[in-house]
Amino acid sequence: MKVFKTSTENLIKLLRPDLGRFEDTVTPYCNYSQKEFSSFLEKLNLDIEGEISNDEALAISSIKKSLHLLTIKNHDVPIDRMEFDYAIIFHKELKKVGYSKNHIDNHAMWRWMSLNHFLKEVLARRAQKLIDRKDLGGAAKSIFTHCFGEKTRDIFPRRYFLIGERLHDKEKGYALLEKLAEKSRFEKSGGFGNLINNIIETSLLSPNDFVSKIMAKILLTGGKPADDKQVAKAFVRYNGFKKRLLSSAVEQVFEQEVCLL
Amino acid sequence: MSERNISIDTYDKMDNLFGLECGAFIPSVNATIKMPGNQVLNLFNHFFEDGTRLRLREDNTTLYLRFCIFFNEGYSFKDLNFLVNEQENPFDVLCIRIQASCKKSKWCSAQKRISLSEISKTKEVEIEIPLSDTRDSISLSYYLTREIEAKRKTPKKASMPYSILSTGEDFKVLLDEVKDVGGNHFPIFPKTGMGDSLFRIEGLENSVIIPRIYYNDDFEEYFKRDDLLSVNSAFLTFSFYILDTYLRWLIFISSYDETDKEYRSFLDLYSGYCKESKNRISEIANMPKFSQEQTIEYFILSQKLFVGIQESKAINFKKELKGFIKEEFKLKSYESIQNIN
Repeated sequence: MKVFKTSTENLIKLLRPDLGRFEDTVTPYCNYSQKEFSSFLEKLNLDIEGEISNDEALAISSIKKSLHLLTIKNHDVPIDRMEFDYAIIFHKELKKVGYSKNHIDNHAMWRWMSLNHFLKEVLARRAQKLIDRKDLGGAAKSIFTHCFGEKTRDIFPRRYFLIGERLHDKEKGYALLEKLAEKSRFEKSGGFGNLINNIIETSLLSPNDFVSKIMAKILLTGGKPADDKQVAKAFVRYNGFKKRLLSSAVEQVFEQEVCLL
Repeated sequence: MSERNISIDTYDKMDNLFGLECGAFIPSVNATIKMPGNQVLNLFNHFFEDGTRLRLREDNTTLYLRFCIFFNEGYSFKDLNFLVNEQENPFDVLCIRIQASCKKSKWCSAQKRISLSEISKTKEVEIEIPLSDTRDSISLSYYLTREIEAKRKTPKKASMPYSILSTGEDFKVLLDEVKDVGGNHFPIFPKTGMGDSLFRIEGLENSVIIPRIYYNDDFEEYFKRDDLLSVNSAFLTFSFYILDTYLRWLIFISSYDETDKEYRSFLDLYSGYCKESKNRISEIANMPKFSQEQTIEYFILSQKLFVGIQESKAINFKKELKGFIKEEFKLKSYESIQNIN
């Protein structure tokens, strides 16, 4: 995969939308096609290293196709309720080409991939409503925030690969993610967003990502999913038990002491 | 009570009860490399006795940490009674859990559960480390935990399952070269065509990219080793100049944002060496560039740096120099024996 070698500070200076330079920094995010946007990036003479392999190119094209099909199949579901579907798609395809936890912190790689391949997907997920309201400045800012990812947790493909890494299981495969995807698509409420924020941001080091999985399962796959507050409080409780090694505790302990519904 | 203040009864703990004898088994060379006494094993920069360098990632997909657990000197099974209720038998209530984890990639191994009867210098336990899931370094941690809930609560004794009753300092295995600035690491690379120069620092005029240190590539194979006294002495000689140059760059040239990770790493580093608060160093860096006030403050910091690095644990000049003198004496006495013979 290709990697930006230009420093993050310089990339931000060059790519952050600025209403004072509307044509140069806002229009590309809102009006350019992916091809035009990639040419725009090329003209900036950014320092880039590496090559994209055939397998990686195929994986990206397969991800884009699956995301498109997902949107068509669920045209009546708001796009922001399909986070776990996105995670399954990204994780499945990138795993096939050998991506692992080792790649998670290669932010320059994720940023290159995101800007050069997922501009339109980020626009649909994060900025369409703003564009509909003719707020192009806000839309460009939102696309920059989630496509470039000023905060690394926001980089579009990385976010979904990371959710996939946390919740995919060697033995049970994507069963938990599929259940969460189904629930989040059809439930009217639930703390799915908070779950994602917590599993992406906290360290939660546990064997086979056990803590992420068990908390996701208890909180959000039961009859009535936990709401935002309940999810947030469960993670606060977990982090509060510093004197106990709950990273492989039995499900009962989580049910009785951490994930209180 | 708020959710942020979960009431947890305090209980008796006894840290550092156990020691680990640990090594990393490398499949490609069919050999185990022992963990040194400082509990940090550097596999990125490991050389075998024949001078060849370990190619960890190139030749392996997995490595295995093998270890035995035993009581540290001065401790025995009797001490475990202090951690449980009077009527309880530690063998029924406690066990040791060991796990390896990688903070960078958020990978964690399966937990090895070892019963107290398995504590022995001869019983070896193994944890598999998939290299594709790990980055930079892994830590091996051990915990003595309570396994079952106490039937009766006793003041000062842990009662809940998974309560940690003893732990110790992590063992660390370095897998990759750490590229972040921080601690005492700077970007340093070999370079061809440096003639008689040994070191150069380039990029000092750039305000956003960290300057790079280059060294003459004639010395590449030696500078990547950390067991050569002559190399250590060369780095000691240049260390103050290098640190002071970076300090000048940080104060007079760099234009970091306050929230920048690299900037904060620099502040951490110089705060430690200069024994000055990070806020103060940041204030000085943000004064008008090259103003009289900023220049005076730089000289004061530079003086503090000169004293601070000599007293720091990372670059202990006095200790290193004593080591050199000792080695030189050994060499001289060996030479005189040779001459007599």
